[in-house]
Formats: sequence, structure tokens, C-alpha cells
Amino acid sequence: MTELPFDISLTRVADGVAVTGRIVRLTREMAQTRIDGRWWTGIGVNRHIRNAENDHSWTWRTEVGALTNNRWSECVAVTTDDNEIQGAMILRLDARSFVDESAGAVNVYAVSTAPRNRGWLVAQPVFQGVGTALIRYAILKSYELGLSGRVVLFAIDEPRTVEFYLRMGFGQVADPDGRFADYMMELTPQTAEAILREAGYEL
Amino acid sequence: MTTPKQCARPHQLPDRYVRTDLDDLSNVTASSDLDLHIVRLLALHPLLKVRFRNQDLAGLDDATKQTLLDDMNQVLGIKRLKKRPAC
Repeated sequence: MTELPFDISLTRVADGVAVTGRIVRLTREMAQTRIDGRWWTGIGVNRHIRNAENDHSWTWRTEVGALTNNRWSECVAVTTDDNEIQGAMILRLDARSFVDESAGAVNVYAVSTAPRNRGWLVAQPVFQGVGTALIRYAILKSYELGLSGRVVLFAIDEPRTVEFYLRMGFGQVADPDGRFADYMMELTPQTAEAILREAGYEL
Repeated sequence: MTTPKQCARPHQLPDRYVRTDLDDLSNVTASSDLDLHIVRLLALHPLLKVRFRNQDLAGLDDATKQTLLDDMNQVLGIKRLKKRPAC
């Protein structure tokens, strides 16, 4: 069982050096002070550009607070030695596979990397690898809960986001009712296992 | 129903994709992450409920709980994940 805090490797973009980050449990207070009150300030991005980011309007404090006693969810963050939160994710552990509704899956309900790490927002991102580390954690969680590494999510209708998930190995699933503007995506057990092996796990 | 691109909240999982066969764990008291993991496994896998029912975690020490988890993992075919040493 993977226990938190959990060490991960990030790349510091300024010098290309690998540094250790940690995946930790995300509390409501951390979300309020170190995400909602911090991420979008002082990064030199104007309001128009900020507003175009889908998660700019999310309130992590509210999302995390609503799940405080929900045992079927898990809220985690990536932290670094400078005490900053570099990314955050909320998982639901009671999801069904989009492809095979008889199978359980982990749902990535929300995931974001801090704006300071987004190459399309800032001239030089601080860290690379935050989103990948978080998705890998979701896969680990799915595997350890006996869900075979299945991970499902709705990716926002934005090419950069969809491309990120496709690169990671997610497949796009046809929306059965044609109701959603976002993309239904799923990681199969085979791909999940390959990702874990590539990350250095012996299976 | 569609989700607008600029949404105030992340995309909620539609009811169709939320499992309804699981216990409500809101009132479960788990004194550690290990306890919670075991409780979740029991709830997620009916097979385990049959094999490991009547387990009172409060009466077990951590070593016994770990053994219980190892047994559950074996039943489910979950291998303990080990990281290869870095070269």
C-alpha cells in the first residue's frame, strides 16, 4: 500500500535538474491558503488569459471541504521544499469503467498543475512532471484497490489537455448519449501496467 | 446536458458511472490509512466480504492488519508494488 507522503521526481526547468517532490494529503486549509489564495497571484498573467484557463474558476477549498468525510474520495497535492503546492488532484474511488460498466475504476475528478508550471502561461515554468506524477498516483491507487489500474476522467474540450492524456496512454471513449462537451477518457489495465513498469515498478 | 467550456466546477461524474453497490463509508472510523485501505477493499470486492467477514480492525495490531491485507491482496491477485532500484 502506497503511504502518503510519497516521493516523486520532478524536473526543475531552469537547470533541468531532477528534484524530489512529495505527494501529500490535501486538506481544506491547504487548498484555501496555498492554492486558491496563491496560485493565480504574482505570475504576471493578465485577467483575460487567466480566465481562459478552465480551472481558474474552480474553488479547491470548497471541493476539498465537501469531501472531508467522504471515504470514497482522496484529495492529494504535490509539494516541494519551498512549501509551495505544485499541483493538486481529487480522486473518486467509487467509479465505474466507461468501457465496461461492470468493472470499477478510479475517477480523476479534478486535476491541475499550478499555473507557474504551465509553459503556455509563463515564460519559464518552474517544474515539469507534476501532472504525470499525479496521474501515476491515480493509477497506483486503482491498482492497489484491485481495480486493475483503470482510471477514467472527463478531459476538458481543449487540445492541450486532451493531447496530454492521449500521450499518457488514455483512450477516448465514445459518449453513449452524446451529452457531454468534454471528452470521456479511460486508461485500460494493459496501459496502466505499462505505465507503472515504465515508472520503475516491478509487477 | 452539456458542460460549458468555462465551468465553475470540475466535471461531475454522471450517476451512471458511480457504483451503487458499495457501502456508505462516511461513518466508518479508520484509525490509520491502512485501516481505510482494508475497509475500502472489503467494500469494493464482495469476494473479500465472504472470506474476511467479521474482521474487527480495532482489535488487531498493525502487523496483523498487514498480514490481513497481504491475504486480501493474494485473493484479489494484487501484487505488492516494488520500485526497481535506480541504476
